[in-house]
Amino acid sequence: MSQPTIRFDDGAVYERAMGVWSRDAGQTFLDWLAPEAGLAWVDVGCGNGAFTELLMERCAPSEAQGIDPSEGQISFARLRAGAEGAVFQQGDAMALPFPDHRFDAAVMALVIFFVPDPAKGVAEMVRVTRPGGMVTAYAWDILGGGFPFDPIQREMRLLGGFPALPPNAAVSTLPALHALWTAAGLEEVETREIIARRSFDDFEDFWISSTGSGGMNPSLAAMAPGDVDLVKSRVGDSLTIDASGRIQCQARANAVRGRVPGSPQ
Amino acid sequence: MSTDTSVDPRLLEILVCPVTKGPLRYDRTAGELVSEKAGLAYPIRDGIPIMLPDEARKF
Repeated sequence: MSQPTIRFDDGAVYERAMGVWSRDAGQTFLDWLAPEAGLAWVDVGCGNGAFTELLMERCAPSEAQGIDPSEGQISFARLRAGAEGAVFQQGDAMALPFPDHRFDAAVMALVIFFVPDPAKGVAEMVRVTRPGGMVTAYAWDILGGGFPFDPIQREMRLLGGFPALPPNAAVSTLPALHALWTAAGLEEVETREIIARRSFDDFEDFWISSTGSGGMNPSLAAMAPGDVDLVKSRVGDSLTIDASGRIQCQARANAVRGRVPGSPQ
Repeated sequence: MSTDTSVDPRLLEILVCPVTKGPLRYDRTAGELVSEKAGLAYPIRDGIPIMLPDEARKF
């Protein structure tokens, strides 16, 4: 049986499902990178601009280019008030439309497992980053159960469902990221784990937020309605509810950074 | 006011053909970014250049 593929065409729906998670992980990621202000950034696979917005808020970039293959996501990103000043366009991570050494820093935020050939994507980031510049990424630890929707996917699998996974889920383990960065010729390669936290008003809020996007919807739709109900009730039982009745969730991403060889110009 | 095929001048300065990494020519009339070397014309829709080789017009 073929697995449903994941598509994110609607920036607003994606925002509710993933944007909040992405933002929390992105904050910790930027704390770790601690980049200086005034850098020229390229955000590869910028999606709806969630991370680009963080860059604009926190890093005072001299320039921020966002690139993503999805027209719907780019349209949303361009209207994001917090990303004003960034420039967005449609493009392919494996064939970036930028000249060599153009940027001080390149980043893939929660996207490397979607790139059909991740090594090619990293090579492109290296190509467009200047000597001494920074090539970075963070990605959900999907195989390690770190994906925000893992509580749902786990129950789906137990009932014979096929939750859609990114095509290269295996690339986001710490050793795999380290190996990719090293193989791309990057220096001073470091990795670390990032914990993201998010709370929901109640179970309905959790469920609607998590299943509304192109990531989860097709996989659930492919299951028998009775099984979906069962998944729902088992997930409900497995979640952590705090004293105020809110649902507290946690996800885990892995991050990597490396430096392009050569001295800065 | 921006028309459908107008494009941010900041983009034109930096974009290259994603296939050849060579220069692009802005064809204002056609609303395309043309890579002579690759024989590809990248469309501009709603002001967004579509820099995807698969979606480019071959010539």
